[in-house]
Amino acid sequence: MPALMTVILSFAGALVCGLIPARHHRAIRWTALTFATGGLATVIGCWMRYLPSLEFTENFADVVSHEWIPVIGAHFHTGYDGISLPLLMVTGLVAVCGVLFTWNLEKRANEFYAYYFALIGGVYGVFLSLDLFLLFVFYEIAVVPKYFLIAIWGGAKREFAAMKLVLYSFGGSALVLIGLLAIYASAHTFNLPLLLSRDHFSPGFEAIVFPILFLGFAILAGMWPFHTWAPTGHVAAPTAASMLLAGVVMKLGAYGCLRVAIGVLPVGAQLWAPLVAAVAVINIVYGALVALRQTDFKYVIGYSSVSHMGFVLLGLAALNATGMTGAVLQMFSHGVIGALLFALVGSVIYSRTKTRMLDEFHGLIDRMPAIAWIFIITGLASMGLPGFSGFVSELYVLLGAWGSASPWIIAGAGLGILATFGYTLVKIHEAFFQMRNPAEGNGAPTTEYPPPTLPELIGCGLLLGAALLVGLCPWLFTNTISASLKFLLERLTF
Amino acid sequence: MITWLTLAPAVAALLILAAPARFARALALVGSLVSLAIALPLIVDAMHRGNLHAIENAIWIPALNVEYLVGLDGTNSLVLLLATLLAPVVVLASWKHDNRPRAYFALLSLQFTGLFGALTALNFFHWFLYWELALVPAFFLIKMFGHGEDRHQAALNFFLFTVLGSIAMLIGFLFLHQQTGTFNFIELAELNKTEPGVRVHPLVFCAILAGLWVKVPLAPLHIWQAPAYAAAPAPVAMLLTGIMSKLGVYGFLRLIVPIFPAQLQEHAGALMAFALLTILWGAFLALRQTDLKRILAYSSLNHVAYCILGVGALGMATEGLEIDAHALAANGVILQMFAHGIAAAGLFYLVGLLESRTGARGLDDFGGLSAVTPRLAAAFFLLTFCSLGLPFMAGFAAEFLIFSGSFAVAPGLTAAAILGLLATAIFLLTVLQRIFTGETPGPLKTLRDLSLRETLVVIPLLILIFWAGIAPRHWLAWTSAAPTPITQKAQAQP
Repeated sequence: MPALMTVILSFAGALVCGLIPARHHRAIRWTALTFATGGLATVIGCWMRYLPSLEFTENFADVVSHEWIPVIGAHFHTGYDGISLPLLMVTGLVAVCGVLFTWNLEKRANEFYAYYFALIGGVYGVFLSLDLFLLFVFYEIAVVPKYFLIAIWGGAKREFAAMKLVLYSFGGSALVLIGLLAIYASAHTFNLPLLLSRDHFSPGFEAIVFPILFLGFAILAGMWPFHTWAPTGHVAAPTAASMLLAGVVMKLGAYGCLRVAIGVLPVGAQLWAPLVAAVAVINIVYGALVALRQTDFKYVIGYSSVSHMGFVLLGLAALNATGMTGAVLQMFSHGVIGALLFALVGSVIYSRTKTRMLDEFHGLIDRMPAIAWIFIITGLASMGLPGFSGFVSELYVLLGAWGSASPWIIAGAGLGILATFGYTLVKIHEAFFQMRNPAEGNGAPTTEYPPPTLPELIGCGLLLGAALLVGLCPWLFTNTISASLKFLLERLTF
Repeated sequence: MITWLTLAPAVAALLILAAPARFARALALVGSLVSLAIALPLIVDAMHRGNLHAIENAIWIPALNVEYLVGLDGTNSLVLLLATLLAPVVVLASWKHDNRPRAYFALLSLQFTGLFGALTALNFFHWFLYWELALVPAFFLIKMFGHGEDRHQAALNFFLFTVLGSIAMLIGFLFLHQQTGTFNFIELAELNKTEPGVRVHPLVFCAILAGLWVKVPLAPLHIWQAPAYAAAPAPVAMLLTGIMSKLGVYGFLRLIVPIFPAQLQEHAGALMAFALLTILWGAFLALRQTDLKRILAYSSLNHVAYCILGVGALGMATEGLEIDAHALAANGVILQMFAHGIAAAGLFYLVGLLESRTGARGLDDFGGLSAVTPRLAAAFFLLTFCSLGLPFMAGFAAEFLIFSGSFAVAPGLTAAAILGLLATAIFLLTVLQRIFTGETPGPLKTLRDLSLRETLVVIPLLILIFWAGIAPRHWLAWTSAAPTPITQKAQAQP
């Protein structure tokens, strides 16, 4: 039951924030912060209880099960394990920081937080669902608030971006629904632990259904060539929403790929893994190269998300303990770091410079030193600087891929890492060290921008701290992830 | 009791004609509320029994072996509930109607009688009487009170199509009577328990099918629908889409499934293919429209066809399946009738309000209304989301049930239909985006939001939608017992 408090608190937060009149934005933001913190505290509590109980024979903790729709055997069945825990954690962190980074929001703040918490509630719900019907319900719930968050509070081209994102999401859901119905028609159950525990399907069935299900989820994970919703959507979204989209919603897709597609259909996964690995490498390299070409700072981050999600997919395609542990860790790592990058670019820097075009930035390293250094550290963490979570997770992924994929894949991924180094350093230079036009001399502005505010500092501290903590003590997560992968790995026979 | 609930609106119609015009609407409301008051306990009672009950049986024309037989079972309880609930809502929606109110409300009440009667009659003789009675007032309501000069043409087309279908059905039943000696639906269904079952010429089956085909409607006999819905006054359009189109689906469940199981089984694949065609064609036509009422009409075409997809699944063989695909599909069809009836009626009501306030109903005439009329926007969004099939709303549960049933028996067609949902999403979201987001045109800045009375019309619809979506089993309690007799017979014929 305690874990369910995350879902309950989120939907309660949506309701309470939505009911406060819009003019009381101070009350609204404090209420929002309270509910978000409550969710995070719940997750931390769950984690503290789960951590020492590794030798538990039962796979899932905190299981709640009630009959819901008897005619299809759907249950309200929730619980969590070592795989869902890091994702719940990143959801909690990003939810709190999203509020902190939109501290000054005044436009229809009540509605904003209503949609915001509805989205978060849906995301928590997906990570906690142990019934495929329930999982699909929460998965669909997460679609709608995204649309409104972008269409109402977004930036340029917001309506186009919102529509595109929602249609891609619905397309993905339609494929997922087909896959789930196929599973149900064949196994007669939506019960996830049961489906995970043994083989129910013929190899031929898995070979057909796996790609449908995997593709459905992978669209939301930003898999090439179905990734284009991600940069457009992230850029048009308001800061808190783009933090959620990049930090959490893309993880929904990756989580579905791992938990449902690979977990329930391991034989199909083995068959299709080489193709997934190849696409994952395209994601990494293509995302990095496109990021290098962007002039809008937010698009740089948007494509870097696509590139980083490629590592998640590559880890999943490795289908071994190291690779998949790395994939889950990378979901966490990119969740916190990607969200922080979007917060810095979309809110902290933009609110001061009023532009996101890199060629209009001018000597920011002197004019906003604190923010610049925070960004540089985050950028390097995203690049894979040792000491931060990104390094550990990408190392795991590469080691895992080394063990199973072809040398070409490894070579491609290596190329991707080089490209990542390239665009990170180039864009850091362009953003902070570049003078707009030296010839102009004293014509260019040199005024200093205001220093970061307290909410901004707390937000940066939380997210960077999380990345650093996991980077230094990866065992905090890797042990639980590996333990929970054990069942799945036993069913993967090579 | 059923006789009284059927005749109450007809009595009200007589009183309306006798009383002064200013009492017309109140009398119509009282008549429909009396029906609802009688219906509710009967329907609640139906929840505790599975079999036919509330039977009234009287010999009528002994020479022809015709008796007056009415009753409630799992097939018609929920549809009757829908009809009796929508009737007072329709009266309230026409509260401000002041053009020849006596004629208007008398016709409306007569139509209620026709609809209630057709949903409860179990003998073809008076079933057909009510079936036609429901048609004639609709014709005059469109012709006398509709919008635009093409209303005469639209009403005539509507009448001709439906009457020709009815005549075909009448001829079909006369042949059936000659062969079996009975008009009694229950007895006809019983015949299938013994060899050789109901054996008729294929043309007879086709004739009966044609009548239902027009009523639902299914492509290609749908061309009367959009002009009629567009020309009809909004409350009448609510009736047409909310109840009349369900009458066709109900006819499939009451006549085709139990009486012609062998023929249904033979043609189930074709029926499902036509349903799929209608789904896709309806979505395509809706995409090309700019007239809101026509868009809703095509949306109706699209959504009701999902019911027929489920009906087709009832005719598919289920040998070797462990799940009861027929029960799933039958439950889904009945719930979908309910869900779509409420959502579509609500949407027509809101579009009617927009039309009466602005005189316009084109997509391009509106914009940015969510800022001007937040209550109307919220209601419109929720009803659209129910149509879209978002979780926790009735449409989701219904479509999921239909799909889970039909996927088990026809995976390819069902997968195509699920991808068809994407087309539905595109046109519904386009409507939302064009009307409610963006810039508000100048003259619309002063548009009135929903009044108290209008809000009171919408809120019960929303409550029902969420109730049926969150706890579908409260509603499926009626039907869970019912599909067995339907489906067992469908299976009885090898």
